[in-house]
Amino acid sequence: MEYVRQIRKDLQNSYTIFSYQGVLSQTTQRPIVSIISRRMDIEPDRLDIKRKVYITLLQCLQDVLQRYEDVPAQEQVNNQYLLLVGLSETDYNITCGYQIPNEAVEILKSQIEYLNDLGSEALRTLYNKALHTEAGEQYENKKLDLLYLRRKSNQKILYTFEALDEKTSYFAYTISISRKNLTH
Amino acid sequence: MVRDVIGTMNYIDTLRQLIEEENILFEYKGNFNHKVLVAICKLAESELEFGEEIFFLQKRVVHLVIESLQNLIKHTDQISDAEQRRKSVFIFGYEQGNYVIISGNSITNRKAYHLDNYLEYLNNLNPYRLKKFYKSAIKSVIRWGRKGRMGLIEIAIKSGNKILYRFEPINDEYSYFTYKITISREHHPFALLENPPSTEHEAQPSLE
Repeated sequence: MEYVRQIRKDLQNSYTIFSYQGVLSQTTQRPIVSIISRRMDIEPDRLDIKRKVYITLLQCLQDVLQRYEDVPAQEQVNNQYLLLVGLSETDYNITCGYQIPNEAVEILKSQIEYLNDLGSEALRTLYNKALHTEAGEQYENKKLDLLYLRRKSNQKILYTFEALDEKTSYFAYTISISRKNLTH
Repeated sequence: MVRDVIGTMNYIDTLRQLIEEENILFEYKGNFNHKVLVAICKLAESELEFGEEIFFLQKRVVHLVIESLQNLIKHTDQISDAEQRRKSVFIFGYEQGNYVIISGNSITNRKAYHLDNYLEYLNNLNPYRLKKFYKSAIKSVIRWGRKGRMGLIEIAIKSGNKILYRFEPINDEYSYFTYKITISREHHPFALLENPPSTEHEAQPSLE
């Protein structure tokens, strides 16, 4: 999990405010959100930015929870689920990582690349279309999650895939939320 | 001039690097209060239950997590600069079969001096002396109502290992206090000892 190590290293000394690696479940989701919320309380960011971070965090956790059953239990590596929250002068960074079947790699890659190439207007149009038209029925939950995250951050999703074995890979992605126009 | 607290957290980074990346279960850097304590304890409990650890080990580890967090809440001395205030750290991980807690916070140099002496004393006690000291501390709490540094005694007695620690100066008034607790799986804190050592007198530090 080289990308994860690199992310940890980049975030390590200055920016990491929270990292969690282990079981992600309904039970652990609430304390994680509580810790990050308490941490944001002391930051001078505007309320709308904090709300955006909060919602993005919830969305990322939901994303991980939904992936739980994609890889059979006997093929799962220990402590595979990862959540890192970093805080720099300019951004909040939320990194999630988990194991996926190899069949999902190319699909996810193409979806993220497509979303990353879209501007904010195109994203809004696509999102509304996905929610309100018949085409929305064809959107699987995963696509909608990524679209939602891309739209919320308004920055490209950084991602990587690392092959773990012949059946699974490790998928990690980072969502950045700008802190510009802080209140102080 | 206040030195950057990040630069003084080298010992924490050293300790962190000794734990392999995948064995850092969680890490939090920032402000600590009761709500954060409750949330972190829930995470620790979930990890221990998922790992199917035996009941007594679970209880011991969670107790030590709570003690460490209470130390962070009660004994962090706030440096005036808001940036520095955020840098208390708590790390919970797994190293060579044992659970590990690493904690860091800023304290006054005066406190650091007394704490250094106290931890040195605790680390040099053998298990029998440590247990006696613990009993006399409990009596002191019952009699005088002063908890003093009971937390550190409980950490020492329940972890089964010496407390690894270091003070790194920040400025003329403050230092950064880092410590590591290794919680032995096989340790039984209150097991009877078959051959207690000789009862030579040892001066005991104040619990204030």
